[in-house]
Amino acid sequence: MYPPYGAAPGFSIRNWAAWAPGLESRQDWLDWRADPRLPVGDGAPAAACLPPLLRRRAMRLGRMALECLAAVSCDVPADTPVVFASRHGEALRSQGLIRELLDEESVSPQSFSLSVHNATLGLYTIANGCHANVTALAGSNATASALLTEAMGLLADGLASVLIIACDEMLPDCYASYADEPQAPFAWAAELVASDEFTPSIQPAVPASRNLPELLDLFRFLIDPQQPVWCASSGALHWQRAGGSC
Amino acid sequence: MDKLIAEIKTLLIDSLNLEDIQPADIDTDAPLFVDGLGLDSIDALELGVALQRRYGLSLAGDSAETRQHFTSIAALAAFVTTHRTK
Repeated sequence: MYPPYGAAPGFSIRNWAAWAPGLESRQDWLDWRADPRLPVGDGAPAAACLPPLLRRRAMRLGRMALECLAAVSCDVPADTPVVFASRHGEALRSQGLIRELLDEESVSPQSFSLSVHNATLGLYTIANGCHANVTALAGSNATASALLTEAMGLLADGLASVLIIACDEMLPDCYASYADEPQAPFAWAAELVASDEFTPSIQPAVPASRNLPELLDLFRFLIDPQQPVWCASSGALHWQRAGGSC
Repeated sequence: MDKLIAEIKTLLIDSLNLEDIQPADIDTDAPLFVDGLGLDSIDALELGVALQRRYGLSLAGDSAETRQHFTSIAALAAFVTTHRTK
């Protein structure tokens, strides 16, 4: 179904970047897409794009996200909107704050201010001095669909391009038993433009057992031309790649 | 006093994650906020909590007097000396 105002019914990717421990270069990810594995490790990116006074505030989740955002934002106008999606956000930080509250009855103001879901985007806009429209999403097991839907909405509104950033961290140990998908540290970002390369459709839900977090599985679909279709595990939203067959 | 000044510089670096700064880089008499080290209001709150925990100080919110104590490492050291309870 085409939007009435004439925008293209989907999107294509003009540029992308990703970072996870052990998967740092573009070639690493191109190799990974054919044989995807769960990223593991303690490494963190340099996030040299950030001034030191801002960089000290970001934990690995933020550093990974900002490293990727810097790579895809360098060639776009400063006011290009950004949609950020993370299923668990700064859960490590929040859990640390709760622990601190129990143990010491006071919490770190700095850590508290950075535990909110849009804190990473706050660092991005401060570092770049930009006043862009930014959105931070968390949608449980529908986070990946929420990310694409939000970006599509912005493109349908007539914006020339939209930056999207997806990231997650390992869950704190105390929450691990609640996880319903594999956990891994990763971030990826992309610049989307209106097009008909990737288009959504509503079809019966297909139960899927994934060996990657859904947000990372979506990234694999987007960068792997061998994948004709991607189905959100939470519902009936499917994304087709033009030329692919279902 | 020199020992306390060195201690407060280390506390400042640790509590504010000033990863690229050494105690020797901090001028004892230079402004901590905006100019000088370039710290901001969140850092002021963080440093306040760290000082309360370490020295048992009680700080009066955003009063002019508190601002005075936070102008430099030297001012903080003088304040800690007279008001510490641990």
